[in-house]
Amino acid sequence: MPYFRTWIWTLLALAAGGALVATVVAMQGLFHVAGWIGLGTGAVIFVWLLRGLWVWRDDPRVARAGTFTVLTVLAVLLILLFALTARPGGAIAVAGIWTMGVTLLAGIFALRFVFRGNSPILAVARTLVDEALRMKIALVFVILLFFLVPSLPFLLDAKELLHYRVKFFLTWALTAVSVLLSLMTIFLACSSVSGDLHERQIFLTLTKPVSRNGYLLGKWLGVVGLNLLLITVAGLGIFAFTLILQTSGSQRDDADLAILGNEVLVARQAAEPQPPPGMDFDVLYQQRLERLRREFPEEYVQITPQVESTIRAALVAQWYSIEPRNAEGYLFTGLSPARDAGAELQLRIKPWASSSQVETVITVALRLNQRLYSEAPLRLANNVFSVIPIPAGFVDEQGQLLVEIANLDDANQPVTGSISFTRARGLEVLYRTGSFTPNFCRTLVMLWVRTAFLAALGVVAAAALDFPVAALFCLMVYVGASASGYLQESLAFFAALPREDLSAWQKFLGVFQLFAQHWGEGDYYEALKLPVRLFGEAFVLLIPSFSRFSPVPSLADGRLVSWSLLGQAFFWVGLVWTGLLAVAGAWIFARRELARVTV
Amino acid sequence: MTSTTADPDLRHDAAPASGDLVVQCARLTKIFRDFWLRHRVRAVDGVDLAIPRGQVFGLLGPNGSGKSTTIKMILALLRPTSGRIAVFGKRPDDVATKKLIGYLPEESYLYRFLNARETLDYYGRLFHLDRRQRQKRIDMLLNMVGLEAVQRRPVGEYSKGMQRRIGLAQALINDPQFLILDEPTTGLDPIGTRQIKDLILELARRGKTVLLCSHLLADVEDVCDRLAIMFGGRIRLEGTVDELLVRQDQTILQTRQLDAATIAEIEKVLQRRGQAIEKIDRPRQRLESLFLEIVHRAQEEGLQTSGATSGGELAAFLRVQDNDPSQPPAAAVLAQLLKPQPPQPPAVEPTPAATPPPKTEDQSLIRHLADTAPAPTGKNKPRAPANDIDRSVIDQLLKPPPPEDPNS
Repeated sequence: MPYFRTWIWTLLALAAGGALVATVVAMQGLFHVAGWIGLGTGAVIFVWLLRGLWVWRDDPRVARAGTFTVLTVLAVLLILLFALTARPGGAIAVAGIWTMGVTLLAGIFALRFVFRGNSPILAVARTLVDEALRMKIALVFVILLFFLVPSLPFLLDAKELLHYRVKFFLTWALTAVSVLLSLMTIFLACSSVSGDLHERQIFLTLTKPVSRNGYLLGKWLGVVGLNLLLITVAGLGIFAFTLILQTSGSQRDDADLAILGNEVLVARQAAEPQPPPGMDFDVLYQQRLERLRREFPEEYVQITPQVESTIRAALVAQWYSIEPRNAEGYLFTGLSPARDAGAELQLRIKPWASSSQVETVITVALRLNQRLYSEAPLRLANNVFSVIPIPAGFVDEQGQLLVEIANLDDANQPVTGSISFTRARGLEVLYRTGSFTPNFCRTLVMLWVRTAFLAALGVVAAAALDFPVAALFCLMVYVGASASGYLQESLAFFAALPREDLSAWQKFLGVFQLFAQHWGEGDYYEALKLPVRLFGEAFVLLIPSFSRFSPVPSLADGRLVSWSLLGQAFFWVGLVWTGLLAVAGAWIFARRELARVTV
Repeated sequence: MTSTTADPDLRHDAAPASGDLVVQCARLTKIFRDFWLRHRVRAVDGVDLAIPRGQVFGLLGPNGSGKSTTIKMILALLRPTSGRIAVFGKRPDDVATKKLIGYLPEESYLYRFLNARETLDYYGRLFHLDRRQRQKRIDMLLNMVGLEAVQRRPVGEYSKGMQRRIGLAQALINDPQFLILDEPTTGLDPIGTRQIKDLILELARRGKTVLLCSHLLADVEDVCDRLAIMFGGRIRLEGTVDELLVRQDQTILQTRQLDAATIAEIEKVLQRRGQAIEKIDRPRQRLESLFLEIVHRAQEEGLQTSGATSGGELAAFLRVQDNDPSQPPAAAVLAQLLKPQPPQPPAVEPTPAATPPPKTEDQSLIRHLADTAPAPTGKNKPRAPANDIDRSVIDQLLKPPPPEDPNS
């Protein structure tokens, strides 16, 4: 195509010539003239570009370049329109969509380049990527992503504090990306494999020198590669808009910004409280038991595991509760990194007053490693998280911090009564161990690892089942895996065992004993609940626990998504569970007949 | 000689030793079961099959006779319920063996979202072909099947015939030693059909093995060396085309148009030998030739089509040898086919319908009579159409009759 080459070379020559002439003129100090030359040359280049794009539009490369040019021009016009009408939010959103689009296009090019080799596995992977993009399976996800991420920051209430807005944005954007990507993974993997089987494209693929395992691996690789691209694009968008949120805003509130920097856009390690020295729950349990036996000699002769569990839970709850004019100690360990770094620690506390209105202020005094935190009592809001900064110097050489909290309420005329803290993050010490960016990257990787498991699940399910059944099965596993923690709690609530702190095997045996006991007592309903729980526990055991490796709440809360957690997620979800699925898939697919009755 | 399943020893009498067999099936049986494992269909029932290297083997049979199931077992898409299959001496699911096989299924199971070029690139990559080789072969194949102009359009937008063409191209991208064609001419126009037949003949010249499964009996008859006819999952008849189709008790003479006097003279000669002319007829030009001629003329006039073109020459990597003067290049064969044919002379056709069309790429038998075409040389089996003509019959007719025995 000689004329095509002429067009390209003319385009380049015009650009180079215009730039050269404009530079020379500018060097003479004639900036206005140089500007006009640049503008004129730009116009000529633009016309020449459009002409070529129109003439050679049948060439797929030119067609792609044409589409890109048209979209870019549209984006520029929209940005100008928003800028001229004093709507910077719209301009930023359009610029964001355009940038994410360009990144996506570049990523698709890169992905196809990576999958370009003459290996059959890569060929299958690349074809899957083409299928996802051209059959519009990934399109829904991409459209939602492109509109959700750039527009979400501007849908938030501008009057809300900035750190709340950023936290909200991070939580919802990452959750939406994770859910959408997971759904897309399931539908793409299932539809691609079962589509090949149903539409019989597999007849042509598997009669070529590619093994069945290689075919499945190629499909998985394609989905995983596409997910990597999409999560990268989404991650870049979310990260960029987080920074835009941080730096934008007409009214800057320094305190708000400080909270944003110290509690949201940060990676903090948390320490849970432990009983202080001299406090032993076994000893306390024995003492309590003796007292109960003295008071109720007939009732506490035979101590069942259920009774022991109840007494121990009451002791822990008592430790987490402080009566008026009383104090309780909580030991936090492993704080050496914060002490060595001289970083400020944070005591994050959510007190709940037993006999007060919600608006009541709780008054406490703090002693840290035998040193008074402040002369003045601390006033904390009831049932709200408060963060108390603690200088690193309070931590001792062993990296320990004993926090003693005194309830300053009047014992005779109580206002707040006893105060207590929930065990789940109601009282903890946090310290900075890293910055937001690597934390954010680890979060994205962890979400990607989860989709790798879902991709394997989809491929394997579709290798064995037809599309609707396979997709529904995958959705069930996905929901189960995402809500595994909640499921376990619900099961424990639905059919309680005497003790929950036993090993799986002991619980298993305990279920039979309890079943026999209920059945013997004629309480059949309670008895039948137990097999249901057993079945539910087996299901939870057979699916990976996504809730164990759920990084989004931690990230939005400024907590560390550690390398250790990422490693565990990679090992358990990415290797063990995905590997088990791969073995199962290989076994099933090797035995599957690809053709059906046609006589 | 015709053989049937009733005599299995006879059936394979002409087959070479097992080492030279591309496919060997022994007591191959396929039973499809339902959910409760009850026998639902006995699709293939104790089939013994041997396809020697270098043969064009036709597998015929009505719908549901078990042809496609047999092919799918050969390709390891189905597993036999009992019996054994060896393809190139290996199990059919051997991945390495599949490098030698090309397969065109009964329908075009292609990815709708890929264009023709990407489709061939995908299948080329499955064969580990490097990029340069892939591109070269893709160019040649697209030219061969006439899809060069529409190579950037998604395959999903193609007509059925165009999809068959790209399906054929994918089956050839690895230059297969063994080509399995399941109903290859379905949906193709006469040009494509003719091209497939030429291709099969060309591949056979190169010593390739072809398994052809088709309902179009005339097509099978034109190209196959050996046939098997299936019914009810069993092979009912198997043998070479000549064994099965040539009628040994009749003779056809074909000459330029004869006047009545000459015919009367010939009849007298025959009467002296106790024979008679059973039928005198003028052969008609084949519709296929007429169609090709019209298309060729339209192309010469420069008329455009938005679909597939008539296809270019056979891809170079599929030809015998580009510089082998003894082999007529496929393009020349095609050009010869597309040339306007001279008016066909009348001929004497003693048999009504059972006479098979001549097994040749050209219709002009007279030319072969007058001037025997140079037979291909080399180790490959020659497939010159001269086999159809028994010159001795003419010589015998032209000789003066022996004096009559006065005692008779």
